[in-house]
Amino acid sequence: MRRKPSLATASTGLNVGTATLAIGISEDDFGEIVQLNQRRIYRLLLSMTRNPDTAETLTQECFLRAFEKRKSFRAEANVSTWLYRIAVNLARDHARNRRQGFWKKLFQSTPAETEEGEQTPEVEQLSDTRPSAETIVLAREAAGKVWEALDTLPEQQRAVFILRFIEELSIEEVAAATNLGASTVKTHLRRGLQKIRKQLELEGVK
Amino acid sequence: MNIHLNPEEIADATLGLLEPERASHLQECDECRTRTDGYRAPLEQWRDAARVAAVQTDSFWARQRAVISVRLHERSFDRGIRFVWAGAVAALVLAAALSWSPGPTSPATPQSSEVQDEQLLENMQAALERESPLALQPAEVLTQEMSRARNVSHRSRQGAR
Repeated sequence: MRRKPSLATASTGLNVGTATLAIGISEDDFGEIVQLNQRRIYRLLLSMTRNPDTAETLTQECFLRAFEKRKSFRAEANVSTWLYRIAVNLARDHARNRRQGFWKKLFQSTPAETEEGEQTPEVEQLSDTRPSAETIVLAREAAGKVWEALDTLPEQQRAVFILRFIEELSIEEVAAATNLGASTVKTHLRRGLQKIRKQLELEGVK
Repeated sequence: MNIHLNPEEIADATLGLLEPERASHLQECDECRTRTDGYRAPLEQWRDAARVAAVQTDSFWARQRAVISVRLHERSFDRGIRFVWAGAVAALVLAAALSWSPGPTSPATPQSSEVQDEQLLENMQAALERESPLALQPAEVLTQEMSRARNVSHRSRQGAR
């Protein structure tokens, strides 16, 4: 019997144990899927690319790809995990292309490449939500240092870290979204945290 | 177990990977909790910053949905155009294949010429066997008719005598 895919959030978790069937997604469901998932996909892509324009473009591309592949959607994961996987792949391809210089012509410089002392957009927006000036400075410093440390991680390790901490996915969901085993995800997380801690200690962030 | 968490366990606690029995120690031990919080704090600030950065207005999301919808239709249209082009090319190929008539093929030529030659030989043989040429056949028929009529009248005269 064909089972309608869960359109709900990532918190619903994986549909572990169900048969791997290509159940597809109807065209009518797709609009609802976009509405339910666009925020988290954009957030993930913004965290991975750190460029709002790139994140917006890749979010669109993510849903276009999902639409093209909607008939091959399998019931082994929920829709949001499936979309996360597409987004992670897009971000990885984007990073690869950027390294090759292709995307430099299409997009402006990322916040990481801005001049020293300039505020990154996320830190600017963060400051709006913090009432104390001291807290703003400390939070900005800590977040900035984590971003810097995160930039030193390999692409896959960074994706795992972002999915776990920003998207707050379970280990199984991160594994499904990155196409890795659960033990590999744990290893990536431990190594990633170790590097970040080391970097923070070097920078004097407690 | 009242042994304090080691650095690996604190890291695991930060990552949510701590074993349940050690997690119970963490709940009871202020010292370990403080150390774990020290690990977590910058990561939580980073997470909050990332989440705030991704906050957008409703109009932003509505515009994004509209763009996705338009691009989906564009792709469908492009695919439709490609399908039409492919159909047109296929129709042209089919039409060309149907309109193409092959010239006399080499195996057919000797067969038809053999038949023609044989027919020609038969005609020549018949012409040679005939006493008069083909063109004079009507005159020959007329002559035969006249001589037959003459013979008939001659026989009837003899009978009358």
